Amino acid sequence: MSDKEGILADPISRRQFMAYTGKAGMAAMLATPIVTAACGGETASGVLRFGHLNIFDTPNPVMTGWEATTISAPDMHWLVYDRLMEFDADMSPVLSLATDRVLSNGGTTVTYTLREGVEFHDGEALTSADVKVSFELYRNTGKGLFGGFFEPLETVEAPDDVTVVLHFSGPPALDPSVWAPILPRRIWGDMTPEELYRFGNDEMIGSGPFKLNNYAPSERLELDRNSDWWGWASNGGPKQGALASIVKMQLANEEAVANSLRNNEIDVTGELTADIWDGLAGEPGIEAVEYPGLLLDHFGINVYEDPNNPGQPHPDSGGNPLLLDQRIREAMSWAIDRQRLVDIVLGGRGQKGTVVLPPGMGASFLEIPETRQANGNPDRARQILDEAGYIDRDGDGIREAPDGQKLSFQLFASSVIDRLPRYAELIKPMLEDVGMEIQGVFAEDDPTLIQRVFVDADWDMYTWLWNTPPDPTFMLSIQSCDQFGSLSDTYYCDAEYEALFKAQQVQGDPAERERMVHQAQQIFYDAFAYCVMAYPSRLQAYRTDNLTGWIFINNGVTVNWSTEQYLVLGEA
Amino acid sequence: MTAPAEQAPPGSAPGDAARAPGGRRRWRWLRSYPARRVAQAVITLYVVATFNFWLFRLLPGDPARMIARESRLSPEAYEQLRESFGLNEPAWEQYLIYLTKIYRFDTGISFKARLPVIDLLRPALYNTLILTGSALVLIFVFGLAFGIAAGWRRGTRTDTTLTLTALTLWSLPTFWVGLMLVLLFSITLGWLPVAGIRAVAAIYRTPFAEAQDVIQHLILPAATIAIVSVGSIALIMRNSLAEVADEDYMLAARARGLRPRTILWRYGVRNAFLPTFTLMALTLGLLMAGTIQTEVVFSWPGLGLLMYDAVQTRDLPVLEASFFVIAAIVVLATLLADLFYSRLDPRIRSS
Repeated sequence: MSDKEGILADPISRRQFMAYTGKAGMAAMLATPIVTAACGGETASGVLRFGHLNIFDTPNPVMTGWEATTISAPDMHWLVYDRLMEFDADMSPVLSLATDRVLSNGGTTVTYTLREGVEFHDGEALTSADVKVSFELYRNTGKGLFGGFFEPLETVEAPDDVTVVLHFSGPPALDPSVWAPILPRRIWGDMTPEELYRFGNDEMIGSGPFKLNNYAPSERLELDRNSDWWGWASNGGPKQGALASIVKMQLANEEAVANSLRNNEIDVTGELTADIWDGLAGEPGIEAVEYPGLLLDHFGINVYEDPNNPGQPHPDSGGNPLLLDQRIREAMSWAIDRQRLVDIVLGGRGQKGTVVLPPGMGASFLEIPETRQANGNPDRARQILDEAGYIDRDGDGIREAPDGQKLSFQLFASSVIDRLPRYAELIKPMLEDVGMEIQGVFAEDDPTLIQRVFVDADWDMYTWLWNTPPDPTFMLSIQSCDQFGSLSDTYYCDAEYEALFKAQQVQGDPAERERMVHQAQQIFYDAFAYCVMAYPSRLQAYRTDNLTGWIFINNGVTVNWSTEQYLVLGEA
Repeated sequence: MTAPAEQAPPGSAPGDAARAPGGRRRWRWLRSYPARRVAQAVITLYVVATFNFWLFRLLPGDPARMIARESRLSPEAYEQLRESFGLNEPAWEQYLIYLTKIYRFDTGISFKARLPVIDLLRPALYNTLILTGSALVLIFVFGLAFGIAAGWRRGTRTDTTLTLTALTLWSLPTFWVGLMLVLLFSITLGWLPVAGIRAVAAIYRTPFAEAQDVIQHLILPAATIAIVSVGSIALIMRNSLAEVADEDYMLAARARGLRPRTILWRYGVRNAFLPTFTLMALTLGLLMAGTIQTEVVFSWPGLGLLMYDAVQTRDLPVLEASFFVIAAIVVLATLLADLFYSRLDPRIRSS
């Protein structure tokens, strides 16, 4: 076949066509470096460029709800708004906007003295009236990740401009002041609940170390240094940081986050999965870091029991009644090889799970000795089921209860976090191996799963993760009887556990509180309503060539419950 | 001379006879092709809007809890939310309110950002238009060039090579092309940025510098869309031109001794362009809806990324508005293509 066979005489010859194509290709090759070499914009100095999958949820701190489990939004709120107290780099609560904190009435009354002369970003003075309105908003709306911490708060008084008095029902183990951004009363004071729901707060008038410059939802959040902030060293404060801005850029996938870091387009990543993180480790100019996290991955079992008819399912429960038998749940725990889950799902970057608090919690974490861990022993699981009378009578590989009901369960998984369905896929054969049937792994998006589990109680088992604050109360509260229809993801309720949980909330003696927290963990561990699969490490990476002063903070480089990193970084 | 009213049949109002023929003429345009096409477009949009309304209400989950994004709601707060968002009204009433809101383009408040949806939609739509517009120019230029080169040289080695290339490009997965381009041009060569629409923390001394930065960020995503879409245009153009080449008027032009280049452009391409033009208009609409993968790979903050985000967080107002806007763009693009096509080819109007 020859080009001479063309249907008509050629308008251009093949040689000409090839020549044109070649020239066009050459022109494109030459143009690309010209276009790219001349940089469009100069990169500003002293800027922390942060690449994250979810930059922000909402500028409205009162409405920061479920999405805030990533603590992505509060992290930024805490830079724009001052708090009476904050977490330092060791995750200890320390004074911040407040200069003094006095306990009285057996610890149920906390009196704060505010820093004088503090102004909001628009120049208006910050007074105790603003603090009062803020605390009342958080308590009354009960919203967000931190809503539970405000429940013991009864009244707030502002006797003068610099004094705030909080009255609690009992001495709080963790002062909710560490969570509460102080909002200006003139903006937030008279809002109806409906206005609050609809309030975008796109100006974010706070008094913190940074102020909002630009927020483009799903694209970027830009905070500029508030040079007038009382905390900067230049104003006589303790913070030496020299960041001019913090820019948080939303990237749609981890590959883009990692590549942006490689290409020096960002300075620090959000949380990464092990395979992406491994690819960054050892690259020039990049520090890939592994931190013990405050994370736990688990599967929760529906144990919603009728309080008037012990041993029977609650009328509102859609779960399989067989799961109320603790022996089945214990067998599940023995059947699951957690080390295998850590190795495969987390790429070995984490620890196998036991109790409901992660090891990153420090002394509050209850260490269960290896020999006492119900883990990775299918024979033991089979033995428990045999002794309980769950035997495969019809030879189909699935055990039946004495009344003939098969040990057949549904397993749900959040589809939003990749690793959760992966856990579920691995757990399924482990449970089937000991004679249980898992009808399938049903991956659902978070809103659907939240409705199913937390609201409708219509599930058997589901995989989930918690990113806990650095205090035991939040994680322990999830298993409180008060959390039915709210945070409880097992519908577990035990009188002894409940008493311990409530007592530790108001226990002022750290050693005694630690003992209570340990005991509560042991009780819940022995109930087998949770199967904690793993404690993932927090994997992040940052560049070492643009900024200096990176500090080690338990639970990550950034977005770790402490804002300290942002306040100490400086230009390289 | 007799007044028209006197000629009217008994019982008719004065002046009816005179108005009737003129009235018919006045409304005749309603039966014209453009009017019919516009009416069809409006009906299509109404159906889309209705489908949207029921689709999102058939999804599992309680809307009030989705609005609150919090299961920990007191019964009073829950009732208050249902009341204030009109969720206690009967479905038909909610539907009427919904249609009224569409008419006013009141898109509501994003469940997640707590900002008016229109404020999220507007910049995203603008960014997507920049991306798809640029990609469309590339597709148009390269698609037509390949199509013309292959079609004009039908049956030759050039045709085979170009057709195979077009088919190969057409079958490539978008995300894979995107990742490969990033690997080559961003990571290996370091010529172009990985993601986003502007450099993070860039300072622009001139508007030109900002435009240049955006162009740098635009090259890879636009090229990705162009690479996977250019094949369809090239193949349609190639086939149209190959068919046209056999027409009698082409032979006549050649017999008249016209230069091959004149024959190609004046008689060949002009006639072969009609089906390609329709496809181009449809491609614009489809690109608007189909940029999700590209926008996700390159974190391009457009409509696709907004929807991707909204799906993950079940931000229903954002999804509803995005679906409607995309449907409206597809309908509008099709309508414009049809109207323009009818101008180019009068046979369409008469049929």
